[in-house]
Amino acid sequence: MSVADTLDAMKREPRPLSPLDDFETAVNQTGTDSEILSLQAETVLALRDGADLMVSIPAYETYTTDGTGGNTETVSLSHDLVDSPNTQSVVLYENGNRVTPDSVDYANNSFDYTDDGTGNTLHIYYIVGDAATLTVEKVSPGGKTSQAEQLKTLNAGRANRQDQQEDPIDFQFSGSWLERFLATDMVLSVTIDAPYTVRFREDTDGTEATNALFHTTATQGATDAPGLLAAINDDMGGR
Amino acid sequence: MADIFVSKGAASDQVTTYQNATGVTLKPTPILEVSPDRGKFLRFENRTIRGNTGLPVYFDLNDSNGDDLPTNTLVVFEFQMSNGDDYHRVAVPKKQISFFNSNSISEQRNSERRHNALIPLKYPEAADREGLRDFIDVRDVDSFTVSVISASQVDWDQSEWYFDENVVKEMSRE
Repeated sequence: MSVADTLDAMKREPRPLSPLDDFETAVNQTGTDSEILSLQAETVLALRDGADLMVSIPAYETYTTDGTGGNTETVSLSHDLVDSPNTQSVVLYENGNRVTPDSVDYANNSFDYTDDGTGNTLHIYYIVGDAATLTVEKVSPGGKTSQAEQLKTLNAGRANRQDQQEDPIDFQFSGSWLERFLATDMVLSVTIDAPYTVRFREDTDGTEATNALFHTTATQGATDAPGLLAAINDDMGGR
Repeated sequence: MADIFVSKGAASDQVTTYQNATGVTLKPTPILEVSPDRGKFLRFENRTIRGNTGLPVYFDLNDSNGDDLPTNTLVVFEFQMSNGDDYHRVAVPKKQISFFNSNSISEQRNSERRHNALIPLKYPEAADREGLRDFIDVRDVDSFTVSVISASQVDWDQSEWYFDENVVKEMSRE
């Protein structure tokens, strides 16, 4: 049976992908193209041509509240805070507890917060407009000689400000029919070259970027397909 | 046709509301259960709108501060047969509710946008059949829930949920 026939006959399920549930997360190196999300396919995984991709990549910062309890403090952020049309612009935790800012000032990239205690850590996940290049690629297993193919590249700063319901971002596969497939053990990898820190979760207080979006729906096959990896590797080399 | 809804403290009689457990991230916990009237069953149907298939629902879920539940809230339907041991997922989960948070209920129903308001009904795992289904029947003895995984807890006094009236049919079991 050819690879195409195997894939046709395979049982499959829609698989919605979300950054915190489905991907391994990593912290980027600012100013360098570095990995923030990776997903190793357990069985055949196929992205869908024309499927919407929702993207909102928050920046992460911490702030320690001052030694006076009950006063309102203005927290200035290092990057361009934007009023996101797609998600909560600011997700704030005081130590491990979700809290809300008193007010948010988008023009001055700051927000006000009243801490009734002192010296607490604020974990801030906020949506930024700073330009940053985000790349989605698929990588074959096999160490240094592994092959990779870019599937999508976009500017995260622009995507963060774009109303993605009105103006959706989608995957387009115009190469060969194999382009959208990942064989078992291949990795779907998302990298970003950003001037800010991207951190989807931190473990000290157990906080998460609940406003992060990197969501699409893929198709997951029930098993692996013998010969698919070789076919994909040939295909990537051939273009 | 049947109008199944919860709106700011009010609800249709077939509905029981619950609050989700925010500490449980392993599996969804219910926020509402639909139990049809005695002797009746409800048929929930998938619709295809602009190439997307699913059950149209419109909701605005808020916590006790009136703030939207986090964008990465997971929403799914679960179903338990009258003689079953446990609930099974009968929908492809929505893993983010950006559309529902950023549009009001009336904006969600807008014909230009409602293709985003679909949650696809599917056969449960390990069932005889796979993939999307045309409809699911919920009898008076069965249990059908809307369940979520979320870092915040829903407050029904400040939240709303509507199943599209045209895709839920109430029928007699006789």
